Amino acid sequence: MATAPGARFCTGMECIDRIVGGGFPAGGMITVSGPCGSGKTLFGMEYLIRGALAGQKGVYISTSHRPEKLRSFAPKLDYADDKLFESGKLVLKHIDDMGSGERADGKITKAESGAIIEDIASAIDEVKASRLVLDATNPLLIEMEGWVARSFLLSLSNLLFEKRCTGILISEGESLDSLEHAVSDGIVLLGTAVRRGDNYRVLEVIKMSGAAHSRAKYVMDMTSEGMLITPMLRGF
Amino acid sequence: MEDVAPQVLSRLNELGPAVSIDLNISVEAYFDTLTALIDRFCNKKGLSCIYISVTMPASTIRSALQSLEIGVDKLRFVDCISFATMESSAADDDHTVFVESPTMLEYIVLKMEYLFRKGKDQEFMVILDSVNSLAAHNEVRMLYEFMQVLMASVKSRGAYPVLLSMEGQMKPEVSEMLQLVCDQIVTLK
Repeated sequence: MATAPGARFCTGMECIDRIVGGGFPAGGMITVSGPCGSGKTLFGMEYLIRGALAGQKGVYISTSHRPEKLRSFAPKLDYADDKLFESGKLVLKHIDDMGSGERADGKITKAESGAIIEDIASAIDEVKASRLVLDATNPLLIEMEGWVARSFLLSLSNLLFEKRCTGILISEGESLDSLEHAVSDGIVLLGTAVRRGDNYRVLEVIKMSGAAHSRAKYVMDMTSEGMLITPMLRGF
Repeated sequence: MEDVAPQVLSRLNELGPAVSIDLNISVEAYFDTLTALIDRFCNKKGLSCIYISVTMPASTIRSALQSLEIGVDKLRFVDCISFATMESSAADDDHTVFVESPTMLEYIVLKMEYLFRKGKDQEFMVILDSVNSLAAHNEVRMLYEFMQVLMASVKSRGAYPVLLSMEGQMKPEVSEMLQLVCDQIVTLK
C-alpha cells in the first residue's frame, strides 16, 4: 500500500525529528554515514529502541558483529529496556543467516542478492516491522559487482516502500558519492570537527526528501538518555 | 560588606524563574552567595541545581558545601575544569558530568541538557560559575553566542538561570556582552 505523499515518519529521536522536518520520509531509506567511532551504530539502535517504545517493531541486521556480541557490548541506555528484545519488539539478525551464502568468484551474484532481499522481506513480515536498520552496508556491497550492488539497493528501497517500513542504512566512511547515497531518500552525516585543537562529534543532514531540513552543523553527544545535539557555535 | 543572602534571595524571589540574572560578587562574598543560592533558595524550594563549574573542580565545591552542612543531594555538576587537570574520574560519582575543556562550549550545553533529561520532572536552577573563568578560555564573540544558546535553553525549561561574575575582574567587552544576554545584573554590596 502506498504512503501518502510527503508523509513523515517520526523517529522518536527528538533532536533528529526537529532538524529533518518532523521525521524521515515514511517508507524511505535513509543513509547514516560516518567514520569509525562517530556513533552510527548507536544512532541506529536508538532509532529502533525509540520505535519499539512507541509500539513500532524493528529489525536490526548486522553485517559484522553477531547479535549476542552486539547486545553484550551495547552501552547502558536509560531509555532502553531488555524486555524490548525478549518480547520480540526488537529483533537482531545477522546477514550471514540470510540468503544461501552462494558466491561466484568470491562475489555475491544477482540471484544471491535477490535471495537476501527475500529474506529481509520475510524478516520484516515475520516481525511486522515498521523500522529496519542494516549495519553496515559496506561489507555487503563490497562483495557485489557495482551493477549488482545498485540493483540490490534499489530493490531494498522498493521493498521498504512497499512494506511501509522506514529503514536506515549505515555506511562506513565520510565520502558521499557511494551508491547508497545516490539511491537514498535521506542522508545524515556523522563525523568530527576540530576547533582550536578540540575534537567535536558533529552531525549534518545532507539530504532529506520532501522536507525543508536544517543545513546547520550540530555538535552531538551520545548519552544514556539518548542522542543530544546543539548547533555548532560560529563565533562571529 | 552587608550580608549577601537577603539581597540574593529577594532578587530571585522577585524575578521568578526564566529570568537571567548575573550576580556580580566580590571574592569574599563567594561562599556566602553559594550558600544563599543552594541552601537557602534551591534546597528550601525543593529545586534541583545544575552547577556549571569552570573556576573550581566540582569535588572541591561539593566538599566545601558539605563542610558547611549544606545538603547536596539535589546538586548536579557540569565540571569543565577537572578533565583538563586530569582529576576527573568516571567513578567519582553519578552527580557529576565532565566536559573535557572549558573551550568546548557546546558540550556544556549538551551536558546540561543531559541533566535536565535525567531529572525530567524536576524544577531547576542553573548556576554558571563563573563568567570570568569562561572568558579567560574563550573569545568574547564565541562566549556571546554560547550565552545566548545557554540562556534560551535554560529559560525554555522554566529554570532559574544565574550567572556569577567576579567584581573588578571583568574585561569591558565581557561586561558589555553580559548586558546583552542578562535580564538583570546585580552587584552585591
